[in-house]
Amino acid sequence: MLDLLVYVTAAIVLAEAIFALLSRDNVYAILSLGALITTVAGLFILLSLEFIGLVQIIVYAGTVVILMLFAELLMREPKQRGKPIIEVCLNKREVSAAALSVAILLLYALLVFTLLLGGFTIHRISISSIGSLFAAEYQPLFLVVIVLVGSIIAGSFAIIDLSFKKGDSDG
Amino acid sequence: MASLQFLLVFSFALYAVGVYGILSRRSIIKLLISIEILFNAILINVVAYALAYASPEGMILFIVGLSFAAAETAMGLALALIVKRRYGTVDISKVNSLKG
Repeated sequence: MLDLLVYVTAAIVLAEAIFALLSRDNVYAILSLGALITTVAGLFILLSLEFIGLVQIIVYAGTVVILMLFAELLMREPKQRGKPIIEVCLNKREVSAAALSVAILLLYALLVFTLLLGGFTIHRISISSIGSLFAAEYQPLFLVVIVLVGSIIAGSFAIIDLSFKKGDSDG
Repeated sequence: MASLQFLLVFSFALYAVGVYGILSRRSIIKLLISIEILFNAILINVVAYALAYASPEGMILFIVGLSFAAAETAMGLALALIVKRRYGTVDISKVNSLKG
């Protein structure tokens, strides 16, 4: 039963990813990405990784999706009425992109099924083991990550501010 | 519980969808969405190996990767806003000032 739930969840994730890319409206695409992230978090919870699923929802669904929605609303172009929700163009570019991605998937699947001949079972990892490892060994790493991520986000705000000021001065 | 092989093939399938998005889409927002899909696929791969080897370090790597994914999205959206303001469009095929 649990295996079936994992397979169904994985299929839903793939469907949401494909809808996010084929959707004509960017808001639908971003909402589909939010649903994908939440479904992946559900997949992690099914694999007994509740903490990881929670972190995924807080960071990705709570931050990235909201950020993308606001950015899309700032850049929104006039809505085209009467157009279908999903657009599928069969031009050379899209067909070759689809063929390349299917080829990559088949190659990886071949490698996985020939090199990994069983013997690997999924283990449970407790939250206490993650927490104790973090507290004992990886605190400096997280300090570096916090500084880097903070500087990246501050830099992105500074770039936008400079660009808008330059645009205003150019008239 | 699902096997390592299934999780790896699933992550590669999601990766293939992300690659398709990056190669075929012209809108900056769609490119960023494709990159987020790629990130999710990579993180699922990391989690799969961490579960197979019962390694808490894999979970720490997941959290670090997630933090950088969020920061990268913030930077990408800032650049998207600048491109929209500068070129009046989010179509990357129009952003060709450096083209020789």
